[in-house]
Amino acid sequence: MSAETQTLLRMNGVTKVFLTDEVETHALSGIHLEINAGEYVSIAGPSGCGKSTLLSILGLLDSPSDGEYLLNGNPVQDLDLGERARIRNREIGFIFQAFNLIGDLTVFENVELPLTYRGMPGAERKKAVQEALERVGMAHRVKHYPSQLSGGQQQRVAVARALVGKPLILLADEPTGNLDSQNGEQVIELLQELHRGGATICMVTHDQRYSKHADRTINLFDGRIVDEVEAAQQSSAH
Amino acid sequence: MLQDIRFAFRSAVRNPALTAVIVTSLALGIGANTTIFTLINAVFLRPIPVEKPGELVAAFTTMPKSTAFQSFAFLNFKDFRDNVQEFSGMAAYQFVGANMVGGAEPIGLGGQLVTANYFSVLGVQAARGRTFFADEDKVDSAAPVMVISNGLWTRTFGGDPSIVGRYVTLNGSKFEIIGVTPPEFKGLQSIGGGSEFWVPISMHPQLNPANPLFYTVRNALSVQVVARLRPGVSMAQADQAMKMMADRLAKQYPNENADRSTALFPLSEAVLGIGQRDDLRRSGGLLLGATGLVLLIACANVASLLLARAMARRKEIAVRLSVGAPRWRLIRQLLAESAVLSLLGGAAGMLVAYWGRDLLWAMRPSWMDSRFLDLKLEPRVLAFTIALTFLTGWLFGLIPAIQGSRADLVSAIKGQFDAPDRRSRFTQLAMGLDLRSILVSGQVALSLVALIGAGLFLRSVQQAQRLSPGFRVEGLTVMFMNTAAQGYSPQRATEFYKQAIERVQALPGVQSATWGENVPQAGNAGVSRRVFPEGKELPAELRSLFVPFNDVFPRYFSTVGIPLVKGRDFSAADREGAEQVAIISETTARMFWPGEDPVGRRFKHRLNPNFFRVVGIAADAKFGTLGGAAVPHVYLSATQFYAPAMTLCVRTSGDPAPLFPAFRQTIRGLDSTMPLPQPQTMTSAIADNLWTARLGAELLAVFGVLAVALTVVGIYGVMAYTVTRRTKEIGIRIALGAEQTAVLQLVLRQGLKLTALGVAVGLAASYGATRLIASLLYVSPADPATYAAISVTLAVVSVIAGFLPARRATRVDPLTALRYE
Ligand SMILES: Nc1ncnc2c1ncn2[C@@H]1O[C@H](COP(=O)(O)OP(=O)(O)O)[C@@H](O)[C@H]1O
Ligand SMILES: [Mg+2]
Repeated sequence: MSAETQTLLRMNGVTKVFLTDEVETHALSGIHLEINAGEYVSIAGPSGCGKSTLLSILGLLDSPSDGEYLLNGNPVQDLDLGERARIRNREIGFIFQAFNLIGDLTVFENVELPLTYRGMPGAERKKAVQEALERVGMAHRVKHYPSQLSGGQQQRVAVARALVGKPLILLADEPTGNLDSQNGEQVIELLQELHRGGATICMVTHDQRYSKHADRTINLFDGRIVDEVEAAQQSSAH
Repeated sequence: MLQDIRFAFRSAVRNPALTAVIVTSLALGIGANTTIFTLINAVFLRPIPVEKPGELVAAFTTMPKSTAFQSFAFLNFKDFRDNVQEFSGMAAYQFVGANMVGGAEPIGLGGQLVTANYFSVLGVQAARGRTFFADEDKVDSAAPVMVISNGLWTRTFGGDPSIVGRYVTLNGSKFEIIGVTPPEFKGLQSIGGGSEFWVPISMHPQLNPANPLFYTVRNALSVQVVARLRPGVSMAQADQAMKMMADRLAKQYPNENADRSTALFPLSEAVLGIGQRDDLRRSGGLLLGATGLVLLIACANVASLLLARAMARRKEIAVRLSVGAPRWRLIRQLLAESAVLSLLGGAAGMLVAYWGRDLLWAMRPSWMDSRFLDLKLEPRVLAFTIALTFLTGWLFGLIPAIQGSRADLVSAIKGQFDAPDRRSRFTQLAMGLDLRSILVSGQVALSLVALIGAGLFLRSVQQAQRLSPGFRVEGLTVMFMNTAAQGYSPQRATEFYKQAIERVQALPGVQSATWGENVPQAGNAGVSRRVFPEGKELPAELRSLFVPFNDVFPRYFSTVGIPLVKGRDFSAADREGAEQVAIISETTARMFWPGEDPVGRRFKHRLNPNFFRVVGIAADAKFGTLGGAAVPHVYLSATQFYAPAMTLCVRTSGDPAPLFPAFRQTIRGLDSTMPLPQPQTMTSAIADNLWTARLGAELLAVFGVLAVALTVVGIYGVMAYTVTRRTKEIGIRIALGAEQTAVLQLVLRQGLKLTALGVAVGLAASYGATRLIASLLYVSPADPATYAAISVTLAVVSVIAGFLPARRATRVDPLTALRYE
């Protein structure tokens, strides 16, 4: 790693335990992890190994049961609800497997949503939304409703919504899971393009074809990191 | 079908909370309506207990430029009766007060002087004994016989089986009781005091000695007339014949009858009181309207809840559809469920009505008892409730049933209701949620109308109590007494009046005592007459204007507390034989002597050949409704003109109530056969007069609160459902960084939008609807303070109702909400 790379987020010994019906599920155990600015990291592993849980904690949707999590150098594991909401809104962009666009809002309004929670002036918002939609190639669909778009198009809109607020990092949980291979391919290309433009991305996928594009792949098994593979090694393995 | 009902019962039992809310809503709605219907039934719908009531008409005298419907002159009545062929019979009757000795206690009664054919025209047979023979009204004073009501018989005579043939003293004369009417017959008025006895009109020298002219001149309009149409004759034909006869009489007796014509009404309308029937109808309509609102709100609630359940059951329904169930079968089953719920609601509603009726009865004014109004839960009421129950079942059941059966098979089975569907927003509008929103807005609107009605009545009561009645209310006590009913001669009566004043004034705590025939806000005994100022040509309106005349003793004005603005009070010198004097009210002065000073001027009335000289002007006092405009009033000196029935007015320095026993004792000391007077403070007399307004306020307030309570349930239900349905959306927003306040706002804003829409519609509806009750109010039906206060209250209440669901929304865990199923 070169000297000028900046550590964006760091996890030290993060553990997550779920308690349901008196059964303890150790979803994550002793996770140590660093992601640098501009990096494209892929998280892989079998179903139920804790990938989504890890991503949720990274995105401050959930908090660790134990351990330390530093975002941009600041510990964030103990923040209250309001502060976490503010950080999610400003520093993090989410892309979900199920797109999770709001059906009652237009494409434009969906993308605008994170900005409205910042109290950004209307004109500024409009410009930012326009830019974001142009980057994902959906600028011609602003007035449509999600139900009028194909799955691939919906996911592009979701990507626009994730990046419109210029977050520190984009978190994507199996963004291709609900798409056919052609549409999936296109979304992955879009992420790569964003990455080339400087975005930091952390993506969960269990599809080998897609994780190969990442700089680094973290393999999870049963809540633990079992392997970390740099892109160079990956390609040489082929 | 049976299976549907069994299934419906099972599902009602399986959802106890939902069933409880629905049945309670319906019970309140149906119960409120049934309660009010018992009242409507008693006042408007119960047929008068006479034979073929449809053939009976009430006849009135009319005059041009006057909307009043007057009685008949007795002599005119006889001419109509003998000459108009369209009737098989025509009878006259006249109210008379009497004191009776011979029952358990001396007692004051209200009864009727009637022509001998009264009962045969009505077709009412005596339950015991007989009614009158056809010739018992032919010769004055010749037939001292009396028919009594069932109520009098049971109350005063203990249901004595040998009542027929018993003698009693009525106004000092001996009368034989010859018959008892059936229990349901109480005379020809559906509300107000029923008649307790009937006596042939030929006995007027005994029972109405003060007014012999009533029976010998055509000036005095003194008897009411009822007639039975001959079979096959229409009311229009009879009306024409009456008017022709009126023309003849006008030509024959131009002095008295020149301007007079006649009008007919079905007896069923006339029994409501021809003057007050519109107000009564309006009040009845208002109450039914208010309870109808409550029921509509209840139905909206239930529809809304069932709609939510139908949505939740879409999967079950889709499965049924996918195995080939025809849609009508599903609708039938859903309707069976609502029918079962409405039956439970109807049954519970009957219970509510049972209590509601007792509550309503407890709100009556002090003078009212079951002789006046009988709130029976009779078969017609039951039929009404059953009809209502079925109607509501359809009303709230149909829409959810149709909506529910329209499940989209594929998405329903996949359980993907929240997945973005391909419908446009427009078709979504027609779907369940928006229907529920409309229902909630409707509920808010209806509640607003009910509450504004209640608010206006409440303000009216306040306002009326603030209105100046034109005299001093505090420290004034009134007692009505009928000396003619004691068989007193005018001389004896005048002596009694004077002694009563002396003795009552001697009581400690009494400042002054006096008599008046008519006292503002307490009893109207006097006659109304037309006033003709000397040397003046009156406009037609004034020529046919009847002005109340009031015989009063000296110091009436100072005792009652009506300021004398000009001239002098009556004095003992204004006696019989001296110049006839009068004191007139300010309004009388303004109307009959505009721009002049009437003191010293003279006027006449039709039943007295001599002039009256105006000696004073008194301030206007409200004898009629407190809210009404001042009407003219003429006072005569009771020392000059004897009045057979008067009200004793006593002004005390402190609380008058402790003096009541002393008042009674003093009167008993003067005449032990005088029925014990019932002293009433002016304060309570006014409270009784405001009874209708207060009842309106209380009932509407009860219904308003009911309506709001139901609406709160409705708002809560819709908001809770919305939050559930939008859990995922809320989760997304939270994931994207929406803070608690933003989520709270999101949900509350939706609730407020529904409320605002409802309030807007409700305000417009209130503005229109309250116009109909303007005549019952003492404030403007568009009173802005009421409208504003109620709107704000309702908005606040709906925010509170939406707050719980909204707070639940802020607690949505984005992880749970977003987890894909
Ligand atoms: N809210 C929860 N309550 C209880 N157990 C949970 C919860 N979320 C996840 N788990 C459990 O934690 C483990 C990891 O889940 P997850 O992170 O969703 O796996 P992945 O995304 O890799 O498929 C699984 O065993 C899952 O059942
Ligand atoms: Mg997962």
